[in-house]
Amino acid sequence: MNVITVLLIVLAIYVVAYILYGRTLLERQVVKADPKRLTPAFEKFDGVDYVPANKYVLYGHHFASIAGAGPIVGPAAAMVWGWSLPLVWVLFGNIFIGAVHDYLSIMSSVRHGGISIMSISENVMGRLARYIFLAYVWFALILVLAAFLSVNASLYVATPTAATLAILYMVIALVFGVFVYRYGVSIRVASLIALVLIILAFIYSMNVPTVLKYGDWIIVLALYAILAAALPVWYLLQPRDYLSAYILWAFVALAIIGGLLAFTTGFTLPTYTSFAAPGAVIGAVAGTPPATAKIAYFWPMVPLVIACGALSGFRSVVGSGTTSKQLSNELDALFVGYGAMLTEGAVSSLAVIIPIAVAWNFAALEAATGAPVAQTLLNVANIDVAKTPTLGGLAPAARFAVGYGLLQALAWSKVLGPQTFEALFALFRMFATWALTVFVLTTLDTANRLARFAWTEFFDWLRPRSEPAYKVIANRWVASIVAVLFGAILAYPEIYVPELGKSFPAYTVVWPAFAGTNQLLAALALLTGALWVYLLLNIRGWRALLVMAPALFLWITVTLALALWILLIVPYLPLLYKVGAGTVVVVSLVLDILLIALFVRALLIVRRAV
Amino acid sequence: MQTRELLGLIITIAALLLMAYATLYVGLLSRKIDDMNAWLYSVAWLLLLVGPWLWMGTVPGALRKFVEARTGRRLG
Repeated sequence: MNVITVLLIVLAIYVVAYILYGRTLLERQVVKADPKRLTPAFEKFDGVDYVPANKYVLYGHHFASIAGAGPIVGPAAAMVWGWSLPLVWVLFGNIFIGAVHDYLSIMSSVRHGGISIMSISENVMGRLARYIFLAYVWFALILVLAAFLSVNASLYVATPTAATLAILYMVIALVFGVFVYRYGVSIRVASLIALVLIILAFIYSMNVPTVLKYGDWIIVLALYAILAAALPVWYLLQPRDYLSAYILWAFVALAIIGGLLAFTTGFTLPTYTSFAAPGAVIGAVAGTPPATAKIAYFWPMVPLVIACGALSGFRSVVGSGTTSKQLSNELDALFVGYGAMLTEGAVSSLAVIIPIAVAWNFAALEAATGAPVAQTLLNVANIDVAKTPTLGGLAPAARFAVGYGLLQALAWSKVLGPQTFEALFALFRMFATWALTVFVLTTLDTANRLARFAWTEFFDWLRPRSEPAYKVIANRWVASIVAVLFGAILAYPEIYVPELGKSFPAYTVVWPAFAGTNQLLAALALLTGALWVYLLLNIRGWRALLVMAPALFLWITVTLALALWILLIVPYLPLLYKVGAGTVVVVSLVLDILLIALFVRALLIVRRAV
Repeated sequence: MQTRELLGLIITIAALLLMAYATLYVGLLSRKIDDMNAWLYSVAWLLLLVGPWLWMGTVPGALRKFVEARTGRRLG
């Protein structure tokens, strides 16, 4: 099978899914979106969090808040199963689970005044469910904050030019927002100027690194996260995410054009390798028996590897947190929620899985295309194909950048001439790395804004009891500082792990549990959405089943995967990880069982009433 | 001009000067922003987040009018 066949099949599936499953079923028959109904952005307009946004701006926001390493690193790692199984999971998960989960999170929140999916659970599963859910999400967000503070700081230490670019990009977005909103400059003109400035900033940054130590970056980024999460959305978040959408589209469009240009190229990675991959892919520590044992069964383990490309619980928190508060028309939700999730899947399938499947075996690729692959890899990326014969020898992030760079170079050198292959590879590899890093900072401040919302909603019981105390606790600066403080405490200090003979940031002790808890959150959010459809929208029959069945399938898959993870991986983790990550997963599973019990109880109550 | 706006204006000017110093003078001259200059660059960035916001108020007039037109009620 060649690139163009797979590419066209994938594109056709996305178009059909958007029109039939998204628009016809979800928007028109299930949710019955109404353009005349005022959204919370208008009803509760406060100029800070509740602010109506253009649908393209919001699409950029909904995508960029999560799309950092998520849709890229996971599918790149999952290629150990061959390319067909990860592609099938991305398509299936994307269309029937992830995009539905995003759309229902947004719409249920919009119909409930912009509150989070966690708080909506009170209406369908009771008050206890709401507080369990809110606490669960707040702690998960602390973990996200810690991880992204650390990832950002490490990234800027390792690639100081990325720090220069990230700061300049933010300043350009801010100036763009001020000119558009404050001085009424046309969006078209302002966008053009901003894009030129971004290109100049890119060129400047490649030559001027900004050098600070890891700990110093943690301090700077923590201050940034506090400020950015408390400032009005129209001021920084909306203009920045609008500009980010251009980068995203350029990234996906290039992947599609590259695939079309390189249409005759075949795949050098087998379609299917094995149903059980080595345990390293699901977090087994290198050097321990499970790392090489074939225990990573594609089902049910795949959600622990591929997250955002197919589905992610964090997206429900974004959808019912920042996105729903900015939606200006109910009809925009399909494009923003369902559409952004499909785009994320397109990044995974078209820009990650296909290029890696093409470029997997360097010698085979060189033999099939005649391009100087080995020499180029040595000259540009310092990769010796004698020692590293396949992309499997590289870490997932590097695997993606090299794969994307090689496919683009193959495609464009057909147009520009074979002598340009090496220069094109260098350019597109750099572009891929930049696309990977540009959204990381965005996730940091969105996570803090969401932690602030969860914190505020968690303490609403205090309001009728003591308004002044509630005002202090729910103050947006207080709520922002508390979350970042906990995140920084987990990201700043390093802990020595004797079994591995190295020091790591403190948060890494619990981080291996994050993939599972994030997917569990997705299952719970989708169950809440399904229950919302069934109980409150009163949808019955096959339409309700089309939402309920994937939700239950996901819940069973993730619960089973986490149980297996506890049995197969945890016993071999270093002691600190065993205590940290092991505890998080066990607690998550207990909450999971409790919430599913509340879910079943809610269904039984309705059945009895009927 | 209110105190808040004046403070915002001063912070914005200071931030722009620091940013220009770090990027145009230090960056172009030494091809690297490090040590104290890296701190200045970072502080300029953080100040730029706060300065214009304090200076120009919270809600742009155009946005306010848009919401008023859609909801049919005057915002306080």
